Amino acid sequence: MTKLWWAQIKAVIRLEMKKTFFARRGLWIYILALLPVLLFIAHTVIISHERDRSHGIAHQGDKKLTHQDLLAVKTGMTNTEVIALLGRPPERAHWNERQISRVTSAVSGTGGSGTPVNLSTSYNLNSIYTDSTIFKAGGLDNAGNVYSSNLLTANRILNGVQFNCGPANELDAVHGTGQPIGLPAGQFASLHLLAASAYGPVLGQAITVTYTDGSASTFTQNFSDWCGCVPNPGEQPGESLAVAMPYRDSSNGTQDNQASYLYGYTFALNRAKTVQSLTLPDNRNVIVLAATLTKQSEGTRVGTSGQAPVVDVPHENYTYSDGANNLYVGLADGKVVDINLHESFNLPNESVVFAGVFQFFYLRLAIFFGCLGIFMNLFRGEILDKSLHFYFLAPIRRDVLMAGKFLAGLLATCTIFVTSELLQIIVFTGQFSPSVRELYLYQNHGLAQAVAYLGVTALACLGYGAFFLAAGMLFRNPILPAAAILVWEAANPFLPALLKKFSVIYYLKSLCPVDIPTPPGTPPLLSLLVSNPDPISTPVAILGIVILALLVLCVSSFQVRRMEINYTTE
Amino acid sequence: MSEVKQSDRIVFEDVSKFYGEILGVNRVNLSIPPGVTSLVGPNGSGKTTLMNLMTGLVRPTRGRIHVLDYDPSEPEKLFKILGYSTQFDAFPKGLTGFQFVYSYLRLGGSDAETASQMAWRAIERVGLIDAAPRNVAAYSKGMRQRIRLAQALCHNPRVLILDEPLNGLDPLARAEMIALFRATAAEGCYVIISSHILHEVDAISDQVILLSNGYVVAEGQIHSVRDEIREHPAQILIRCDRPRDLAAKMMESEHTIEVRIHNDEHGLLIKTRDADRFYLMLNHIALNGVEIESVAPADDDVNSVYEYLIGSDEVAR
Amino acid sequence: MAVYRRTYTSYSGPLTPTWSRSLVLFRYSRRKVFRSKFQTGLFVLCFFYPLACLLIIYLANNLSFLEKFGNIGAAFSIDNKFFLNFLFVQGVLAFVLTAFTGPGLISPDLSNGALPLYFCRPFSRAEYVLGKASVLVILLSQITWVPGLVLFAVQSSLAGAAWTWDHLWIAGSLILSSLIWIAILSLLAMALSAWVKWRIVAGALLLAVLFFGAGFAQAINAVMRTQSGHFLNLFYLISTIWTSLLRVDSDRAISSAEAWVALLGYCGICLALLVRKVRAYEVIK
Repeated sequence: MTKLWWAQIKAVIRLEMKKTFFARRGLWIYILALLPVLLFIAHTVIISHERDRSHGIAHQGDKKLTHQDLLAVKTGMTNTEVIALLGRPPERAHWNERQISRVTSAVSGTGGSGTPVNLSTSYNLNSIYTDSTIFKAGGLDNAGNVYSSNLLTANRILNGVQFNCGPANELDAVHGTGQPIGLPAGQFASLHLLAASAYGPVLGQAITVTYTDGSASTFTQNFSDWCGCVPNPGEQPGESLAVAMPYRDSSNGTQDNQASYLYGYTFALNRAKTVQSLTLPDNRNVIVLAATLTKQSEGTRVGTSGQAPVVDVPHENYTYSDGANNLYVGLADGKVVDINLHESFNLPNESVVFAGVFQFFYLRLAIFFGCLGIFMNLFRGEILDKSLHFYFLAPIRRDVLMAGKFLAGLLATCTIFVTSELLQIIVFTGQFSPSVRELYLYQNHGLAQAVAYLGVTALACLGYGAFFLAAGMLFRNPILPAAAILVWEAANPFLPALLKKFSVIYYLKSLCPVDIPTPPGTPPLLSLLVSNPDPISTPVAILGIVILALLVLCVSSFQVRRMEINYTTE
Repeated sequence: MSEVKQSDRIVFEDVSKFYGEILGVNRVNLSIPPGVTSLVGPNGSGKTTLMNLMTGLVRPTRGRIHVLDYDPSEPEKLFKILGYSTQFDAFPKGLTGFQFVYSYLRLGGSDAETASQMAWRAIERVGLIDAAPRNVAAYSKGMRQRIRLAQALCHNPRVLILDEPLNGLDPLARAEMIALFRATAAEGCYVIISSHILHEVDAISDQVILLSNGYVVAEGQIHSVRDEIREHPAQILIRCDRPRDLAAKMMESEHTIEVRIHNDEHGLLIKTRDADRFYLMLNHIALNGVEIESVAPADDDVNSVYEYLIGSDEVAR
Repeated sequence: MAVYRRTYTSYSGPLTPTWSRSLVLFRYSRRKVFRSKFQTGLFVLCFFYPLACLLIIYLANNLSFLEKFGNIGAAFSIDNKFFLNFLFVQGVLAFVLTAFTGPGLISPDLSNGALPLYFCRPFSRAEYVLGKASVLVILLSQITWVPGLVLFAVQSSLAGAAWTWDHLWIAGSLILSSLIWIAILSLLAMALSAWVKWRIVAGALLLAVLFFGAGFAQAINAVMRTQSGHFLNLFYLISTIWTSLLRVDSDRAISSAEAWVALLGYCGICLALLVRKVRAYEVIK
């Protein structure tokens, strides 16, 4: 009997291989499997080109550099210092860039006139931070961008009027809420504001000054956007450019090389009346940093055109190499502003990248969809083709038929995907020089890792194959369970311990030979996906997958014996 | 009556099949002997359902089925002795005609050489030797029908179930296939055919099963079935030299319902309630001088039986 | 036998206007979609989030005590970020709905040989594609920009004319963002549906194109140390366009212009596939 079954299984496998392996409809699976190989081939070509380039650059340099020499370059160094350290750059680029100058219309100082309004009780947003500060608050525009206190100093004089901005790194500005802000008692001729808008110009905003007798003066004012990315800054009527800054700060502590502005506004008050309160418009996007009341009339306006002064700033790029690593130094105005050390080849990093591609792309997507296509086709495809009865009318036990089809699918997927993985490993190790390759393979467990990758690939085909064969049999539309399995596998780290075991990826993760370190700053949820906090031993993992697959296949064999031929039209 | 051995028959014991709420067949009790048995009925009457039940492609909702000594739920045993040519006009992709038959035999466990020989023999029997190396997807309808027949016949089955086997065949091929079915039945095999072509069913069938709306309306040999239909008087066609005299004499008897003279004045059609008494009377009349050339029943065929049993159902509906 | 009297005449009565004939396809295809309980349920599910947003808008405008809660109050801020989040959620639901509805549009006609029946009538391929696409376009519009505009209108009525005037651009951005996503989803679903004869395989292919594409994009970026892989990630491309249209600052590896070009390229490829596959005849070799 067993001999008969084997003969029948082989007949089924032959039939299925003809339909999967050698049919045009199977072409997409080859493409799926070949894509990562092509990716690594392209990577190898680029690496080899970069290596040649590095050697060329190193050769052209004044002196032979080491990795430590390259690491010695720091931001802020002058070009002379860089050349003294590393020699004349083998590759150099030079250009000029138009930038607004670090000139401000409002000068720093405390000797201006007027009565500054104390806005501190009304401060409701953080708009100024010192450079390199990391902060969590929303910032001026609620997207983490703020003025730099290194540029926007606290006390400014514009047209002789004194403005006192709030302290940096704290609540220091007021956005409009429609609530009255108390003004110092007195009779004043003008109200001056240092303000700007966010998210584009804000037009037709009402500024109201209420007097003690209950009357009020209401002014309608347009505000320009604080960001230089918005065209025509400072060109609204009644607006003057107070401070122009070449960059702004971001919440992650970096500088955003985007110009930013602060504008001055002056409103004529009824000097016969005593002021009581100032009401800003109820608009989150109108932001006031400082307010001052003056007894004299409006002073001299500076920069009425609103155009910030621009200068040509010389930029340079120097490229150095020690033969393996390339250093790209960006200089602006003779000072180092940007350093990019491109390490051309780093075996530990490359291994981690390979492991990441394997675990997160090849296993979870390429093999997943490849197995979905092949195994789902075994029964569901035959039903759609209305050819399943051909098998059911043969003198063959249905579970033997199912076993034959499953083995055919497994053989096809293993051949395709294990071969692809082998090619990837060959291409990956092909980047190394022979000595490094030997070291990696025989001393750094590279060979064991390669075998592990191939084994995990085969086990993945086994596990996913069993699930998709069952799905194709049990469901009229297997895409639903396929999508559910995709989500289930992705959510595996978040499942309870018992439910985790009913997942292929749970066992496969523990069998992957290289751990992927969690990058710093990764949110905890995402780090759960990357890491493997509770790995299981290799024998348990292999047994787990095999048992899981066998369980699913048992269910499938019950189902296939009860299957009826009842083709429905699409 | 000798006891019918289960192993000699294809037996349906109170079989019903429902597709959800839709009735396939209901309370079918059949015992099919060797020979050519035709399943006759309008579309949707349950012919294909019966065939699928026999072959295990569907399972009965109720009842039991035995095909000789085999249970349809054991295909590994059943299909060694059974061949089924289905109505489905779809084939596994990418196979040639030869591969289609050959791989079926390999699935059954035959070795390569035996399977090849048997496949070629079957293909030769259906006349597709030249087309065998071509892809089945490129075959005409008739060729696809023939290759399905080849697959059903290739392992020399004892039971041959053929769902509308003459569909798409030209007259010559039909004649060849009919001869093949008769030859197979003559060897003691069971040939079960479903067809709409009633005169061919008449010509080849030993027994007939009439189905309507999932019920078996009649089964057995055509003559026996016709005899059982008492509510329709027998129609007999007589050719003679003096039809009017004969008609007058016939009208004298109480069991004669209607007599109609043929246009050529050499024949008449008689409807009688009692065919046996009619024949006795005819003998008597013939002995008394009327020259009778031929006597033949006019409605003792499948067509008439179909119309009486199933046609009336359709009208009533 | 000679024919002496010819009494047959073809129909010469009024005909429906040519432009309305593709609506026949729309009517029947839409009816087929809602015959499925699962798809109907999914469609209904797509309105839960807009309802929740409606509640948030009401709370944001009517419960001033929320301001005292600081961060929670910020969560109830109805601005462009609010509408961007709305677009993300409804965009994902639109994709899910397309994955189940789209594949059944053209595949069944291909597998059952219905295309010759359509095209033997005065009915062009463009009308056929339009008729089929209209099902998806209208279905997806009903769950994207239409409820988005309703939310905008409600917010406008509660917040006042000043807010409306300042944020009117959001309405236009919502419509354009939704339409580009609807266009790419519809064309992709129909192209894949036309390319494979089986509805189930077309559905799997749609899932694969998006998820596999996203995964492969990440793999390219990781291996090649580049950001160009993002051009293969439809999710990334569309989110780049959305953040730019809704003026939300975010660090993107590619510019919105590049994303537009890439998406329009994909639309072109899908159209080319449709032109190739939607034909009145099929050659079997």
